[in-house]
Amino acid sequence: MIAVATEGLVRTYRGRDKRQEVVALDELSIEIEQGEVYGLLGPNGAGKTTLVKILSTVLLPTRGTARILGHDVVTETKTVRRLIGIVFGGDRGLYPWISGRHNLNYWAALYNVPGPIAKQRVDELLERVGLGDRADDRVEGYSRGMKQRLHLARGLVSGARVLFLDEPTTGMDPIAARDFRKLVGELKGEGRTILITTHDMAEAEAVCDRVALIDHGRLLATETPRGLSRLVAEHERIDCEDTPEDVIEYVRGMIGVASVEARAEGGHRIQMGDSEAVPKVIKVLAEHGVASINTSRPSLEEVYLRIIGDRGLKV
Amino acid sequence: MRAIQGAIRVQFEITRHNVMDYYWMLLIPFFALIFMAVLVQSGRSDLLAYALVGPLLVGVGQMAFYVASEVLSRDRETQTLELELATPAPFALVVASRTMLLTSAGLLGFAESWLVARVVFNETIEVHHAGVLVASLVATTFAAAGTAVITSALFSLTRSARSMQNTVTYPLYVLAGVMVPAAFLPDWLEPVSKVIFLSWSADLLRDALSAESVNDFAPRLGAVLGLGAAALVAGSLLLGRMVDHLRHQGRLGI
Repeated sequence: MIAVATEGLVRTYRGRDKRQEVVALDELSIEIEQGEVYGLLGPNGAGKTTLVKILSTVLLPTRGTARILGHDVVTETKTVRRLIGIVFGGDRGLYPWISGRHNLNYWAALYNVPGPIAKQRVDELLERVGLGDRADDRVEGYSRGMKQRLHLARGLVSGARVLFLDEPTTGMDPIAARDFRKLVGELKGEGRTILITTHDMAEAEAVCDRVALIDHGRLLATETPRGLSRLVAEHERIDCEDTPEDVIEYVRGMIGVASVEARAEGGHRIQMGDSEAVPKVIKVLAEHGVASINTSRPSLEEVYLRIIGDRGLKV
Repeated sequence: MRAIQGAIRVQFEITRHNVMDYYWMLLIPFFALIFMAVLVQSGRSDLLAYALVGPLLVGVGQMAFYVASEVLSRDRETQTLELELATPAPFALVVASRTMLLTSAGLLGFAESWLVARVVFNETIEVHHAGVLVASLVATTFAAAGTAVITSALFSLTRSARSMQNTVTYPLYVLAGVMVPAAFLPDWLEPVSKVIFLSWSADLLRDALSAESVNDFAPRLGAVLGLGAAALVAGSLLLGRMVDHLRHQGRLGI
């Protein structure tokens, strides 16, 4: 069964000067299976949060449809709200003056979770996110990581079947981020559907069944994490210094080399089009006495540019 | 029901930890002191009940206009507002429950003013009609909470509405006969007084503290409740407009 489905979703805003129209989502169509962890990967301003807001019923689409477990987010708002949980990254969405427990109790009440069940669930969640010992302390005394974990518990307190996690590990320390990934795995094991937005490729690879790349409100590609790794590896590059010109020309003609460019700071960058050719190029460089050789993978933004260039904005 | 419970509980916890929320209640004894001193010095201790009702209603009013009206602004600051809107709980009910708790804190003004009379002036203000007093206080709190829903939504929608806090509240108290009975004001002001719930509240509270019998209690109480309900409906409509604006424009503010 499809848990989250959008079809031709468009959202535009009026720009600052009121005349210019800014397109936040541009004909976005996605389908997320029930029980799937679906990553939405994109830079800031790509449209990820706009999509989460529309799916959460707090923003209306300009055009197109969005459904949660078959219910339309515009016409069946109340039903949708009972089915979803939302987690924002950072320390947004909490009352700092009161305890973590009181924060969760409030949200449980707003989701109409009956008192005894709410009490038990709040206790369990606080333990689950490692805040059991600090449950009755005021949130303003929590570290950023603790606030994020509390926020995660907040999103789970309703017992939602579909969860939207909007950059949930922003600013988390590596240990907390690892625990978070483990928790996502547990939630998936419980049969929940999770839409997670992030600009951290490693995070997406670690927790998602499928990952969608989004930019300027458009879906660029949907891949499994393995496919995503391949996509990145395809665009691996080799930086070398003090390389004789004849060697550069030789490398330029090798199979699997996309381009060779002189770098402003000196040396050359060899852009690969096939990851399997990387060892061959390194071997050639080493055999010709090039001492300074570095390989690196492109940033997500660079991969986007490649994809846009390669696919002409087509999915 | 769970939403109301949760809203009241969370507001209680928030207010418990925010000393500035009690600020107005710390001023109430001083208001009482001024009003009562004037009456005692002029030999009219028999009118001390008037000096109790004034600070009491100023306390309720200030809690409504200055503290309860900030509920939504505070939720915007903590970025809890959108999350609240994404829950199935009726938003207007949640806001009204929270403003109700805050305005009810203004009732402490009764005890504060009564104690000023007792401790400072050695006068005991008697409650002659306890039922009328309790019913009037409950109705007044309800009406103040309804009004606070309107102002809370207004303050979230437009910054300019905030100037109302400073420019409208004190004239409102005068027109409503909070300081002195509205009957002492020029006749042409009477229609204005009648549409302000505080004027009905003030008269009822003064009657509750008077030895004379209370006339037309039910319709007068109905006026307070009716004006409160009208404010609540208007506030709910305004909140609905605010939510629509947020969902359409992606931001608050007009």
